[in-house]
Parts: sequence; C-alpha cells; structure tokens
Amino acid sequence: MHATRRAWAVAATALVLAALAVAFERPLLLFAGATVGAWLLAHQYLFTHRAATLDERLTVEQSLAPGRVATDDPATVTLSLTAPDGSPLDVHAEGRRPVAGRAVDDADTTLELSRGQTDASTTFGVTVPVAGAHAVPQPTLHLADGRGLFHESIERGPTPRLTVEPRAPRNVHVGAGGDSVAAAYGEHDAGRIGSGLEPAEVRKYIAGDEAKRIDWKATARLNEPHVREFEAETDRTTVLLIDQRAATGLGRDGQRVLDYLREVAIAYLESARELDDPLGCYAVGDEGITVSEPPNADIDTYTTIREALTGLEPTEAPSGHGRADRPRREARTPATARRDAVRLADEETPFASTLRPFLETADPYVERVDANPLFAATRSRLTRLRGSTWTVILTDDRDRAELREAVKVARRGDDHVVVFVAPRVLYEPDAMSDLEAAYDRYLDFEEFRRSLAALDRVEAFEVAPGDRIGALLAQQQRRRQASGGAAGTSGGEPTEKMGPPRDGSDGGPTAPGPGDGR
Amino acid sequence: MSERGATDRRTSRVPLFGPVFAVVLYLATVGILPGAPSLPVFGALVGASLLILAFSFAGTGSALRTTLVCWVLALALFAVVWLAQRGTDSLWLVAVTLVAVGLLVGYGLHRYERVQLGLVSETG
Repeated sequence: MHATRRAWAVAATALVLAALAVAFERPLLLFAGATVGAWLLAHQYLFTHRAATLDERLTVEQSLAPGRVATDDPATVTLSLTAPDGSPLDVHAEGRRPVAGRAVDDADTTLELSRGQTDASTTFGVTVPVAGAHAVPQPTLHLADGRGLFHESIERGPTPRLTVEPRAPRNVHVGAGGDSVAAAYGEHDAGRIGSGLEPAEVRKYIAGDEAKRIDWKATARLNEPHVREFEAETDRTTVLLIDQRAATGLGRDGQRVLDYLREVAIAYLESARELDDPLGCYAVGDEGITVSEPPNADIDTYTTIREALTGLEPTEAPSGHGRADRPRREARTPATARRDAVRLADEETPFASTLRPFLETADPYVERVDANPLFAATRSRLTRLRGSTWTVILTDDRDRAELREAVKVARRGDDHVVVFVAPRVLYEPDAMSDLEAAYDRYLDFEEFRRSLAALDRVEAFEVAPGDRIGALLAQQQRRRQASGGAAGTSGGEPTEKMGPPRDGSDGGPTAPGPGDGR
Repeated sequence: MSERGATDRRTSRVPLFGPVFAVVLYLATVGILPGAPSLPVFGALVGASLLILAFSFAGTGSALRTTLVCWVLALALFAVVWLAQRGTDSLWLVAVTLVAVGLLVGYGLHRYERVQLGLVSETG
C-alpha cells in the first residue's frame, strides 16, 4: 500500500495539531489530531479490505492469438477484467509485452475498470523480433481508492506463451517419395584401393608387392604371406548449381523454395569445408548466372560461397516472359518428338497432317531449352570444369524439360549428379487446401523425380517442408484405406503406389550427401 | 487515461470534508474556550466530530462499516490520550505516544494489506 500526497497531507495535519497541542499546552488539540488520524486510518482499513476483496473476486484473463507466429509478425493480446459484483476499487490495468516484444502501432495497452463496473477488456498487438518462446508477463493492476489516498500495484493473471519462429525453413524434408533420407555427411571413400588409413582387405602377397606392406600377423595366422590393403581417400570436387530465379520465391516469407534449397546447399558447404573438399558454386537468376565461384578448397572460397548463399534472393522475372510462378507445361524432348512423328507418319488425318511439320525438326526445342538460364549455365560452366566433378543441382520442378536436359549435360563423362528438386505443390500457400488435388500433383512430381533418378549416375531427391509432406502422406494413407475398402467390395482396384521401389531401380534414397561413395 | 484518472474524477467531487470540518470545529473551540472544556462540552465536541466523520463516509459504498471502524479507532486514540495524560504530566510525551500509536496502527494495516495481497510472505 502506498500513500498518496493527499494522505500524507492529512497525516501531516494530525501531526501539526499534536505539535500545536504541546506548543500551546492545549490537550484538546491532541483529540483533534486523534480525530484526523482515526479518519485516515479508517480509510487505510477500508482500502485494505477492498483490495483483498477485489483480489479474491476479480478474474483477470489474458489470451494470445495466434500463439505461434513468425518473427515480427503481430500477435494479438486480449486482456479482460471481470468482477461479477462490481469492482470495489478503481482498477487501472496495464498489459505488458514480452521482454523482447514491441508494440504494434503504439497500441494502447491500458484498461480501466472503475468502481462498480463489472467488466472491461482491451486488445493490443505485439511483435517479437527474436525467435523463441516468450511469456507475456502478467498485467499490472494499479488499485486506487475513491478518495485518492492510497494505491497499490499488483500483478495478476495468466502468462500465455508466445512461440516465435524464425523466418527460415524448419523441418526440412529431404527424401524420395515422401521418405526422408539421412544425409551421410562425412568422410567419403574413393571406391578403390589405395594408400589411405582405413583397412580394406587382406590379400595374398603377389610378386612385386613391397615388403613393407606385408601384414605379418595375417601372414603368421594364415601361414603364407599376405598384404593388407587400405582404402584410398580422395578429395571430391563438388559444384553447387542453385536456382534463384523468380519462381523460387514461391512460398511464405522465410519459407520459400529458395530458402529450403539454400539450407541444403549450406549443408553441402559445411560438409565440404570439414573435409577440405574443393567446392564451387553457381547461382542462376532469370537473366543468367549471378554467382560464379569456381571450385576451390581454400577458406576464402568457403566464406565467399556461404555469403553468396546467405544473400541469395529470388531475382525478378524479366518482363514479357509471363508470370514467374505460372507452371509451364513440360516441353517435348527431341526423342518424344521423333516418336510422335513416326507414329503420325502413316496417319492421313487432318490432325496428323497439321502436326507433322512441327514434329519433323527438333531445332525449336533445342533453341528453347538452350535459352533457359539453368540449362545455359550448366552447359557453359560445368562443361568447362576439369576432372571428375560431383554436381549438385538445386531447383524446383517448374520447368522439367529444362531440368532434365541440364542434368544430362551435367553428368558428362563419369560425373555424378545429385538433384534436389522442390515440388512446387508443397510451397504454394493455397495448394494444401485441396489435399486430393495436391496429392495428385505430388504424384506427378514423384513420377518426374523417378524419371530423373533413373538416369545413369543421377540421384534425385525432393526438398520440401516436412509438415506439408506429412499432410500429403496422411492423405495417401486415407486413399489407400478408401481404395482398400472399395477393393473389398468391388473386386479390387489398383491402389496408387508412391515411394521408391524396393528394388532401388530409381537410384533411390541411398545417400544424397557428399559422403556418398563413389 | 492517466493511471489514477478515474480516482481523480471521483475524489474531485468528494473533498476532504471530514478532517477539515473536524479541525475547524476543534480550533474554533480552542479559540472560544480559554481553558480546558467541561465534560459536557468535551463530550459534545467529541460527538460532533464523530458525526462529521460519519457524514464524510456517506456514499463510499461501505459507509456503516467504515464509520464504525473510524469511531472505534477514534475512541481508541482518545483513550490513548486520556490514559497517557493520567500517566504523565508531560504533554509532549502524551503527543509522542499518540503519534506512535497512530503510526503503529497505520504500519500494521500496511503490512496486513501486503500479506493479504501476497506481496510479502507472512514471515518476510
């Protein structure tokens, strides 16, 4: 309890009366002081009693909506006071923000519950720029009596927790057919015998082997000379080819296609740095290559690539090329054009005669693909690299023909290609509202991914938000159950199959990371 | 609205009616009567002052309870003065006793309120 200046003035009056009584030797003034003092003490008692009553009866509610936001996104705090029998004191409530929180538009966080009033509520917005769990502190209630003699401050009410998530991809799913694969980051063997440290095998001594390579323990055990072989270790030159065209801006802020692809690229970067592997990076925008860092194993290169990856933003689509986020129809390849031409060669229908000229030449297709930045970058930069290279392509499935051709170009010689493809259906904000349609689109993507993975020396993986892929898998389960039930009654319908074949023919999820054997 | 805006509005309508009029009454009596008042006059004075205090609590919502508490406190303090006067001839000692008792009661209420609201523990 705190006395106001008015209360202190009354108390001072009582003291002055007592002093005057002593000074003028008039005991009657002591009674005057006692009267004033009794009046003040009575008010103090009254305030104490009412504060206790209020504390007992007042309901303070504080709620948050939503309880989970991204950094700097506003959350609304609703503060309400309820005193069923009316408040016995004036209450001035002050809503508080989390320690790291900020007000939204200077919102008024205060609330007044006057004496006799039964309820009052207010709402105000808060934003938190720091990710984590933040408790909204209890509101402070300032209690005051009707005469302005005493006041008190107490904190009452719940402390809802606000979970603030960073504007960054979370729950990154990397896998195939909905199955996650663990990235095998770590040391990688060369797939051949050499002068490494890891023992590989013990074989019989043959003429010409150096004497120092004889394994004497094995020789003694097997009673004839044996030589121990070691696995050869090698550096692996890895080149990241990351797509940053406008189409990769699809998705919610901080959880766009590019953000997920960036996470995978950074994982490769970290692994390469640990192993001192040469690493290069090329970023492809709508107008062409925006980042060009040839493979190198020095610390400056790693730093430069990290900075480049961190700063990547989707480029702007050049005008006149249509909307960036509009999915393109898959272009025909020269092979399919030739097949269709053969099929239509003998037909004399108007349809066949109209199409025939278009199918006779593949040149337009080549020109069209060649004009695509990803393909152009692959052809212009990767083919210049010397030696064996491990190419990692990170893009979405918007232009599948272009991607397929780029992969084919990238796997020149004996090179391996790992493709991380972001299915656009899992990033479109509204796509998941119709799970059936989304699942169908995902099946279409999965077919495309498998076709990529079926290429020799190519591995293809999907990169997607884990929660969305989980929702699709749940939809798959429902479909299976439904079709299973229907099969039991109608004699059986083929159920859709998703996920990598068990025979691993699609090049399946063996290990997408730089730790893959080669 | 300021922190105590509602309070200020309300109190502006209810001035410090009780203590002001009580003090005026006592000062007037001291000015009129040169010596100690007789018992009937003293009784009338005390009764009048208590009535003034009772009026001052009108409209506070708990007028009866507060009036009774106020009267009990006032009579208790009067008793302290009376007993102190019987025990000593020194008027300043009586005054100090009165002030000490008043402060003790006020501090006791203050601590009681803080314990009731959980702002301090009973042992702290």
